[in-house]
Amino acid sequence: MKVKTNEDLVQQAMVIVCEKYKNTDFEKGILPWAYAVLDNVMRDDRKTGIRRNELFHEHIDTIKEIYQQEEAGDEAAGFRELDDEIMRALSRLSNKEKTILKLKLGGHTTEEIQKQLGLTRNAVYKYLSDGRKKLSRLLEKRGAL
Amino acid sequence: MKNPTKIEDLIQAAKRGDKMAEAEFFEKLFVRFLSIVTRKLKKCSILKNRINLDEKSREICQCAVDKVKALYPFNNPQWSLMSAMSVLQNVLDGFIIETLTDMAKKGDSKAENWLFAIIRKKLMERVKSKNWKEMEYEG
Repeated sequence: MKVKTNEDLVQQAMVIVCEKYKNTDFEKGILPWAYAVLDNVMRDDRKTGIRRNELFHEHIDTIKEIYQQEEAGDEAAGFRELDDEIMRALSRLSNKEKTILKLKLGGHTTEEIQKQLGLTRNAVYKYLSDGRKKLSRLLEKRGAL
Repeated sequence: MKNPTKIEDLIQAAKRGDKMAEAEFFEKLFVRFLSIVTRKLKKCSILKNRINLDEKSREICQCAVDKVKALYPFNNPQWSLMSAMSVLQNVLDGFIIETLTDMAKKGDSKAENWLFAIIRKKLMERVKSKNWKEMEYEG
């Protein structure tokens, strides 16, 4: 999932500015209005990013590495070397969310997770979805971008 | 007592409450502003032959000096020559952008291109600024 760059966001704002400036009356001038357009573009992008768990996907490699190091019994190295913000965000997940996320990132199928934990398919999906959304919100609030 | 003539001496005297030094300082500030504004407007080729350069330069400088007086009286601890220059830059940018907007709205495509280039640059500065990253998401 592509995360928008600063250039993408400015370009999006510029498209709106180009389309609308001729028919807009600027109370305080065109530049404050253009800033407001950019602010709205960036707010929408953040909301969409959290809805699509884009912030989770940005950090997925780091999260996988954390779990791999834990599996290998090298927890101390994980804490030392990897992103503190992600570690803190992961610690905020419920036990079920952490377990299911770990199994999923470790390559287990939904069916295998179901059997291992004695859950329904929908329950597995729900824990996964809630965990991803929680991580995305926590990482965004803590400025891990 | 030696009469202060250098701008820095006038600033120090004005900060001590010398009203004559303050008045002389603002005259010198106007002259300094005028040289900066005239030079910058001459570089803005899109405005050539479209504005009365001398008249507009004076207008811009007077507006900037008035704003400096209003925003940064000498007893304001944030007063500095850099603050005054920053005010001038904002007033000058505002004038250029407003003029280009008027020209672009009337169908001048070259003015439109200049305007969009300036706005794009300003938006890039804003999107990279630290303040943006601290903006709260309410959702």
